[in-house]
Amino acid sequence: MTEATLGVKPPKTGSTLHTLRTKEQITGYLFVLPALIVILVFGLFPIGYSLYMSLFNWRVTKGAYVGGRNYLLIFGTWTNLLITLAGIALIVAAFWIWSNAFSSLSNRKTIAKVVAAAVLIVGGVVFVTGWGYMFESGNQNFLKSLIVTTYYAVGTVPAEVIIGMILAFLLYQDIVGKDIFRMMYFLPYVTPSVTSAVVFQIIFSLRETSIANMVIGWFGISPQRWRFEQRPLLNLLGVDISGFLAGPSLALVSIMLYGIWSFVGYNTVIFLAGLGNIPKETYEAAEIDGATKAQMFRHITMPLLSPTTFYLTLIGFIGTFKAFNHIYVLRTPSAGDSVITSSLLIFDNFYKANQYGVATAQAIVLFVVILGLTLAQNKLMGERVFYG
Amino acid sequence: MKRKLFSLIAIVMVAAMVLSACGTPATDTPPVEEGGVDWSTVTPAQNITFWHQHTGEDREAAMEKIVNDFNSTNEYGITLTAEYAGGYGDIYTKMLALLNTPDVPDIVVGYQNQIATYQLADAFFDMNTVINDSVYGMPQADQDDFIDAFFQQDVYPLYDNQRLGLAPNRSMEVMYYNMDWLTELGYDGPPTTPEEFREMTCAASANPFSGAMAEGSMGYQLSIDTSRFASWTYAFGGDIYDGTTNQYTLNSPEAVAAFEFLQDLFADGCARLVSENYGDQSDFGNGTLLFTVGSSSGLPFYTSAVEGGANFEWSVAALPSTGTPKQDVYGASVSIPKSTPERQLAAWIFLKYYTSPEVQKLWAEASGYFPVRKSVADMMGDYMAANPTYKASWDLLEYGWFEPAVPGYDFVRDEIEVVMAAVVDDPTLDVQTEFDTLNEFGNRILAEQLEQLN
Amino acid sequence: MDNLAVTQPKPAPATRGKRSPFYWIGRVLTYAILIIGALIFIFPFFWMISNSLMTLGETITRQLLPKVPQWSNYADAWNQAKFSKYFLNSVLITLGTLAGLLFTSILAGYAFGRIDFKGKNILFGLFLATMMIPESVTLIPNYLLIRGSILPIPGGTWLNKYWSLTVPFIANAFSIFLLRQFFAQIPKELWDAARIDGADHLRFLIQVVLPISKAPVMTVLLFGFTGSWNAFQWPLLVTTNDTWRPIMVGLWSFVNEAGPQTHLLMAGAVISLIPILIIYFLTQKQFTQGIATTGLKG
Repeated sequence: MTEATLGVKPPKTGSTLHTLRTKEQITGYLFVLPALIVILVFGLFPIGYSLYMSLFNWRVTKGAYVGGRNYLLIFGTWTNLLITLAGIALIVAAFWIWSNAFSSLSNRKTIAKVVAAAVLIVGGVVFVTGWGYMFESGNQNFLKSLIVTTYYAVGTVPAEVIIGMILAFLLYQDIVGKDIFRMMYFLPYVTPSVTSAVVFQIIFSLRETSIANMVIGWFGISPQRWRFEQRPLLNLLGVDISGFLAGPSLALVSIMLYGIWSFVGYNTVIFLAGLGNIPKETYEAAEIDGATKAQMFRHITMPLLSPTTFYLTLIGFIGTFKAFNHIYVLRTPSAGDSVITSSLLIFDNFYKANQYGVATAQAIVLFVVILGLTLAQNKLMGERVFYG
Repeated sequence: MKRKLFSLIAIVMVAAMVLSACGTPATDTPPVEEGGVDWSTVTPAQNITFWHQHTGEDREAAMEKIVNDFNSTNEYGITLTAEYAGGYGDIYTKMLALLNTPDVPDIVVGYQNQIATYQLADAFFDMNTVINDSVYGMPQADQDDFIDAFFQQDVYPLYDNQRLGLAPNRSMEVMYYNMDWLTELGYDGPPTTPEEFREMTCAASANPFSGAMAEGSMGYQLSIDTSRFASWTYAFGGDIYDGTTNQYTLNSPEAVAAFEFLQDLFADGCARLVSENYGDQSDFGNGTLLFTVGSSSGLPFYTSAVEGGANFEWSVAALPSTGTPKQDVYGASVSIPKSTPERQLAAWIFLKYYTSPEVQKLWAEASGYFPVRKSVADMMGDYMAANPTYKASWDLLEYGWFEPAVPGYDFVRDEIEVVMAAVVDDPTLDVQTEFDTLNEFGNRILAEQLEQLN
Repeated sequence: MDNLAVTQPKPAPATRGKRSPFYWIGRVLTYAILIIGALIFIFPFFWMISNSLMTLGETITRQLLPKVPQWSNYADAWNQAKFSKYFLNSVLITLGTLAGLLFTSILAGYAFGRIDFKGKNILFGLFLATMMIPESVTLIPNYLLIRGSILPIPGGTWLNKYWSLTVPFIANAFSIFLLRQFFAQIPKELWDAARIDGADHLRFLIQVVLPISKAPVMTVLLFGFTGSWNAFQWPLLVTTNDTWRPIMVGLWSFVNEAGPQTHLLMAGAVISLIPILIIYFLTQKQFTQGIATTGLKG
């Protein structure tokens, strides 16, 4: 019994231990093999092929080999890219310094934090400078689309996760008709976008009588142009900034609301699965110890839900960077490029301008960006996930 | 760990790259060479496929009948299978991946600019090699029976005047108007000049229709679509493309005049943007919108809208113009991808059948498109009498004009739409400057696309 | 090996005396939020059903409710879009995909969550990486793959065949990731106890893990079903005839170039939603039972 509790097998002779380990490894590989084959073929091959296409002057027909030229079109010059990457590297270094500070003595800790902050600021400045250069000489449309995509991701994922968690929590309680409620919240996710898009076009239409305008009318706000409105939301609210900090346009916000509406149901269902996994007696024990509901939520529910939260946040971000359908059906020419996310731009470059080489180069760059953000997220959040 | 991750991904990608380099790329070499085929020695293939985008009960039934009749009456034993392969865009995507491979269909629908893009890969059959053939050709009398503008639309100067398609149907931009409302406003007919149009739209915006089924009144709603850009430019006497210099003319004085006109209408509240897809159709049907501009193929939908809505007298007319009307005519043609001489010949035989007068009559009456042959119009007397709005549109065909058939047009269309939308909504924008930039963009895209020809 | 999935009986109601007013406010607020939220969420669905019962004219003029419900729209949509064939196709495609998906994801999720093998993290990262590329550029390489242009595949080409609609989807990183998260949470004590009884990973997976993992497995099933059933882009590309065309592509034929036949489109969409809702009910039943792993702790 002791061995099992400790989770450690008694030491055996070297060869048996080795055999057991090997057997375990083989089992692991075998289990993964079926998925691996399919994903390798249909998931990784397209990435490789896209990389291949991006190295050529590929319009409808395969042209000459051009190496990195399609990439250069995005960045302007390689120096610009280096500067920007240097900025990112400095920011990463700042975090590393910060998190490794507590290994030193207490006053060294403060110094380390100050140094980290300084490095962060320098890194930020370098990054912004590099970005500025790229904007001047590189592909403005693509760079702008990265910003739009970031707005979309930041605007939808946290909202979807938080609302999903709250809804799941509420629906996990003893509510009359909770099965019906659960289904109603799930419906948007499964409604084909052919139909929900039409409805949202009507909701966010620029007529004075549109539903969105009626709703804000109750709060005394004048009718807006919604999906046709190119101006940033902050500007409309009266805050006068421009550039990156001005934030998403009202058109993009309309699309975000559509996105959130669609995906909250998905998150809710998965959170419910996560809540169902928490043993009831954990709560009971805590109740006996006198914990309040709020305390139980904070110290039991949230940590035990953290693997689920991590999962939903991670795939949420990946998903929004790839998001296409919702944006495609709600975009208008009046909104200009304020709603053109990277996946939309790549689609247009591919199928309308038939610039296969350029489009795939942009796709690879987007891929690297998503990869980088995922790794960053993994680092930041992954360590706080509690696997019970 | 991170480095390992990166390096492994890199290795896998390179491996996949090498692997894919070993495989056949998207465009194989064409399986057959052109020119100098003696058609009398070629036996038409027995089984061919036709990809189309037609949906709806009426069209599907008509297509089925046409195909069945062809299969049972043609003297070569050809069996054609017609397949719904998606919308125009979907068919375009599929074709792009299949160009110059044996999996192409034998006949496919496509807009001229799509065919122009396909032909960058030299993937389509030039019908000039068979149209005057002694055995299988189309008699000159038949060729002359085609309406000239439609017949010429499928000849591509960019590609040495190859004939890459044949027109089975066409439609046209028309102006829909609410006659009852016009009468209420004190007018006895649709506007024929922009000034009249302006007068009437502003009158309508101020005076709702008595029979309206919903709140509000508006003179005109502009839908942001390049075909509207073209229509209005034509209406002011200009063109958006110069076929002799092969350059866009999006900033011509006429285009600028047209959009300054519209900009003023918007600023005065007499016109606005369409607010959701087909929103103008529904507002027209409800009696809250006096004029719309759209395709004549929408006639059945407008009929349903008005019947289901305010039920008033209405009709179609040419857009109000500064001189002789010039109407934007468009439509997909049917084209033959390159494959083997046998398949191409069989496809051609069907095309002749599809564009023959009786079949044209059947097809036009079922689909709501226009037929492409003059003789067919005479045969359609009854149908025209029963559908006066159709006849009204048909009578305008003599004023037909068409949009450019160049690769990359779809991309330029998107930019045209962005600029259109910006200009009409913002009176402070200078139309000339905006259109100058737009025109530069269009010509740049065109140059990039045409590079591939060399 | 005992089945350790036991549903705990509900605890006896706490005898706390009178409930505080906060409790009632909380309840009212909860219901209010839920009801308002639900109305927002299902409004488009209501619009869909309403439009499915209208005449074309009513949909075009944007009425809110039909004057006379046109139940015939459902029959029309069914016939016009050849729904019976497409429905069957969708069922077969989805079942096949699901079977494969459950097989690959459960095995791989377990391996990633509970087995320590070399290169595990790299491999997992690779799986996730495949999800990071936009679909518009993967369409054409995958299309070339299933046509047999890149590597020879059994059967020559998979265009218009069952395999092109199923095989690419029988593994995806999201399902594996989800299951990994849940499988990793299973207490180590269970595995140790199983090992003592002489079980290997496979037996542990089948006899212990799966029975207590109903919630995540049902989730994978539900979303796998939805993804396959609602798939549109890819099936549109790889089917050019009726043989294996699924329902969503069939719906598309109601969208004309000159104007949509909204009433039929909505009727078709409602019909296509029903199987998903059925699967939803079936899977959600499994969720409502709490799961406990008692007997080991304390």
